[in-house]
Amino acid sequence: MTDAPALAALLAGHGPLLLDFDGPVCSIFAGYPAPKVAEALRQVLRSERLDLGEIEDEPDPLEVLRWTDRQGHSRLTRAVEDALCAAELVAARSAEPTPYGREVIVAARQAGRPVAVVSNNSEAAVTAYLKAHRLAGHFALVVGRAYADPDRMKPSPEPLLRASDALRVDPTSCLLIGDTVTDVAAGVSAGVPVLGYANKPRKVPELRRAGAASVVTTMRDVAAGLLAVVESNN
Amino acid sequence: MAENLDYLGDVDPTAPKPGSRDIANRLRAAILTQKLAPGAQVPSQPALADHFGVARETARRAVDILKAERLVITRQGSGAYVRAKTQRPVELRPHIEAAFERMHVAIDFAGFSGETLRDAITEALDKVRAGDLTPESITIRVMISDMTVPMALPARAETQSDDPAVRERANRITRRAADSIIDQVQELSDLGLVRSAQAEVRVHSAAPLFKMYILNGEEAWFGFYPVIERTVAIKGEPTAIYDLLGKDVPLFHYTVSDDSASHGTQFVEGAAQWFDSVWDTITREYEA
Repeated sequence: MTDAPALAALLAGHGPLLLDFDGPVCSIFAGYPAPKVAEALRQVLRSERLDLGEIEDEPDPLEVLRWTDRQGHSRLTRAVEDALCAAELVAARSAEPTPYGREVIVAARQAGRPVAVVSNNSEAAVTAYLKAHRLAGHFALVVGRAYADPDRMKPSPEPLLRASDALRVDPTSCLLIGDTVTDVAAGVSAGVPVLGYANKPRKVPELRRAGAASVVTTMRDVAAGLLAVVESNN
Repeated sequence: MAENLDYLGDVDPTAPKPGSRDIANRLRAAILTQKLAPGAQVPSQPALADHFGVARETARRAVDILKAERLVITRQGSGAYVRAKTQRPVELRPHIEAAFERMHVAIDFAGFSGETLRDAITEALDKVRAGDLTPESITIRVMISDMTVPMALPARAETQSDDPAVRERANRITRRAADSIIDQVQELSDLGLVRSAQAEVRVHSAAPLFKMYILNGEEAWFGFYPVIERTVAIKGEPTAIYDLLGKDVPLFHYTVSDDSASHGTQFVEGAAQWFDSVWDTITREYEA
């Protein structure tokens, strides 16, 4: 499944490793399912007597936020954003670590690469998770969702460029690991190579088509590849 | 040209003449406070003798004391110099080798694996084999964590919990060092080069958090093991573990002095008491 030489070449780089959060690091909504969060956001909208037509069954809270923003009332966008931030903080407490996600983070540090999160989730929720799992010290940076401005989320290149700027490196020297087509699209437009993490088999062709430089189906391959780099450095 | 030795302190002409140990103390203080910088030349014996109003022989003995402490080194024909890099972790290894210069050698180690001890005694034992060192007795006691029972460290990082697979890796490392120490000392004993040579290893269930060496009951070396997280391959599986960082940590050095109230004397005595108390109670035999 994995394109081994392409993966090895990606992991041999020295630039920062940028990790999408929900997917490569953990399943943030493992204990507080995303559809329930989406419903909580709809409750906010319902109290404003909005017609929720097309998002009545939307399971993805981020899509509810995007839709709200398109309605053009910034007060509403802020209300949904606040509710989402609060829900994500709750969800972070019952988030499920991604198998081998921790190994990848730690091995990247051993390989001399700075590690950062670039996420469409709120920075507060990401940081809370990292602290609770004693991982915060490994991270040089956390870039979360721009407040009440969903157009600046991935697939916008902005969060990735913000990260490479803050880390004072060229975007092309970074490597993004992401599990969605949205991540790949953001990487392609920012000039950041993307390693696709297909945590569901159907994602393999999707991520490839979107332009991922390589695709893995388990983070184990990434951890083992980084360990091989550490070995060869010694 | 008279050297300016004011940094060595005033000399009271009416007081009794200082001994070599007094002069060594003044020099040591000057070195540790960097009034004599790493790499600097130590005042010559005539200059010291002149400054303190003592015989040159007394000055020479003072410098010898610092040489024995590895604070100064001598270069043939050009005098004594402050050892460079005294600010770096003091090196234990030459001290272990020096400990073998005694008639009766006694070394106690408490810690994770004794890898450093093994490496140091390999060299010292080579000198014994070659006849360059001729101790009458060697007694080595090694007290390490028993990696066959549950431990708080090393541990699996994600869960912070004990993991037999993680310990198995640590167990291999500890056994390798312990077995080698036992083998080397046994070989000496078999060769009959030393009247009595024994190495005893005992294990306990406490996690390794620090290491300590006691050399001939006269000096103690103490170092903390910081906990680090790293991903290692355990049976081919990448695994993030909390591990101890044993190598390249600074060691604190304490020596017994004539002053029974000194910090060094009290530390070494306390260390020896602690070692014996643990050795005699919660340890059990190590099965080589």
